[in-house]
Amino acid sequence: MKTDEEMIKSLFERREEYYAANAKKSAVMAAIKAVCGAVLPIAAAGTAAMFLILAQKNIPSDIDVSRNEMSDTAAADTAEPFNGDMGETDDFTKLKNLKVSPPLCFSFDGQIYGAAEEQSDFFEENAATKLTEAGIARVLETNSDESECTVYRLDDSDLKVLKTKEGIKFYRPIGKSSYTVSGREFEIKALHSTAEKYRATAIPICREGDNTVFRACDESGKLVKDVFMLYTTELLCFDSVLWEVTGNIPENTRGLENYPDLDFIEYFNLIVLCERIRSNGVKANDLIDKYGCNTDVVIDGELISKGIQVYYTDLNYTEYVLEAYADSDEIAITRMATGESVFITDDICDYREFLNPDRVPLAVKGEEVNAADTVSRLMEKHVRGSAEGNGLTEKEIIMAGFTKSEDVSDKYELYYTFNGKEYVAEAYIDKGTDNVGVFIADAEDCVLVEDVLSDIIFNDLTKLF
Amino acid sequence: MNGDSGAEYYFRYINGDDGGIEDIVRAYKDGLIFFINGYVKDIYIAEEITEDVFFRLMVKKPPYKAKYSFKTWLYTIGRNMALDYLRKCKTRKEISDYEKPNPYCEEVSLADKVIRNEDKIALYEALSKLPEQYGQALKLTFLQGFTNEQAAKIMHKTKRQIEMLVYRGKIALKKQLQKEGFVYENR
Repeated sequence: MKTDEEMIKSLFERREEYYAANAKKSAVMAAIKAVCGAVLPIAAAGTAAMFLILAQKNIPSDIDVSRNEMSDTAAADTAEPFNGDMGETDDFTKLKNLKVSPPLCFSFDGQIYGAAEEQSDFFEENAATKLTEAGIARVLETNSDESECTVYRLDDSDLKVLKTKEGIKFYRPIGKSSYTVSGREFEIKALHSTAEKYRATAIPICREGDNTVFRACDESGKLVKDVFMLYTTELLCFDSVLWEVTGNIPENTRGLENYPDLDFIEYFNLIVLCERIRSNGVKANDLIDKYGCNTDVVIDGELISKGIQVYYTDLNYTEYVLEAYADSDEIAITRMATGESVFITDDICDYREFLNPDRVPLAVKGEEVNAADTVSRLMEKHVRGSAEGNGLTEKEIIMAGFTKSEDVSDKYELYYTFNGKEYVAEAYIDKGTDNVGVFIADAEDCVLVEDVLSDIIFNDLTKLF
Repeated sequence: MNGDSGAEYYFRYINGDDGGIEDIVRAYKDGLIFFINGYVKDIYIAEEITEDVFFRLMVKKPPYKAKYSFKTWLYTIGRNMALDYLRKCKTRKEISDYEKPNPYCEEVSLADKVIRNEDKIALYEALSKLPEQYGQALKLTFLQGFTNEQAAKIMHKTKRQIEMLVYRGKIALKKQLQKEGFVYENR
């Protein structure tokens, strides 16, 4: 392991390299601009505009070239599409005659490939000399009509290359093209622009881990034959995107009753919205300017501020509210059930973690009424409450079978088994508001044995030894 | 070391004094590696992530607001970057497995530097076997001296949740220690 001084030395060396690399990229882009005579768009402005348009149309963004990843910062600074017409080599002068438009992504050899931010680096070092034809790929998303394209391999790299009418384009693997959900295999066959058509009415039919398959419905709620969508977080850079898939889908959509109202679909927007807000530096007033205000903050009859509140519900019945007020730059999301908040605009906020807390599966609707179902219904009622009160009372949880904890005075608990695993629901009474907060835990990890450590203060633990 | 000192170092660096970042590394490096190791379970990866945390401070200079102590803020960044790492590993399924010296020895050595107490080191080893959330809550509050409120900020939990994690963690710890043959009544 490094000593303090070794790490300090390493840090300063890395900083020098970082600054040098940035300077080099700036110089390269300036040279390209001079040669091409093209006006390169400013990355931040371009993506911000995309964000606003996409959000308005309720379309998830597909490629986030300005993700807030430190290691990608330098590349993102120069991530604009490169006009590869250098006019100096045979290879590139011929590109002018190609008709293929650069797709946003394509499927090839079991992988999905998306536009590579590192293209300028690789262009300099490899592209002109090391391309070999690899085969034909299926285009998944493009602004043109092409459904296939010829893929070139770049030696010593997992990048793939397309020769397009806009120049040479580099693509990197962002994830596999087929998925198994609930024992059924699905292959992505089209991009989310197709799935988008059914986004508002899609119904989840099976789920496994982070992957959920949806059945498409038309506006009247009628199932659309052979159209399914996959929600997955596994694809790099394409998180939260619905993909149209094909596969062995059961006709019996028995899972329909297992989910709450369709407004859960908004959950996906929340993730995307957070990404846009973070990566584009959007502030509260940017949202307000675009969408207007829908709520007033009134204290003692006096209007304090105006702003936006948007509610979201995820697949676990958990409700969130996104808030932006005119008197502050901050944009916050709050989990209604617990009151926990994070500022998306806070540089160190990990909103993904916040939106995907470790959760135990809740009981589902339609099952035989049991303790798990009781907990589920209580949770549903609880999370749909408001700041003024959730309507869940101490009496109600006692009626539901909770018993008072012997260890903690304001806690009630209910043990139950769901899917063969034991859980404990813990209800806490907020003395100030009489609201009830319900938490569920894996009972295996918190075996509440009476008398165990109940009389030991943590600071005295070393006395155990 | 208190939070104000860290903030002072950081502001010095922001204002052009490279010595500020050197002081931050000296003050927080070992503790931060120790903390991040709780997430990534690999002392060398933890060291790399820790260096990345400092590097981020150096080149991005994120604004520090004195809402929380500098140490709490730094650890929160460390936690986020550790989770980013784990997320990437999960997505790409490519955790590197290169040849390394014995990581356990390094880990114990680091624990020794951070904790400086043999009993607590034994406790640390037991804590490492607990479910992650319990172990982290106990390590932060007990071994690293954070208050429940500070630990809540770092772990993105409410204070109440931390209290419960500590409570449950103690119970789990007791079971773990008993499993390993500790008979505390006689010690």
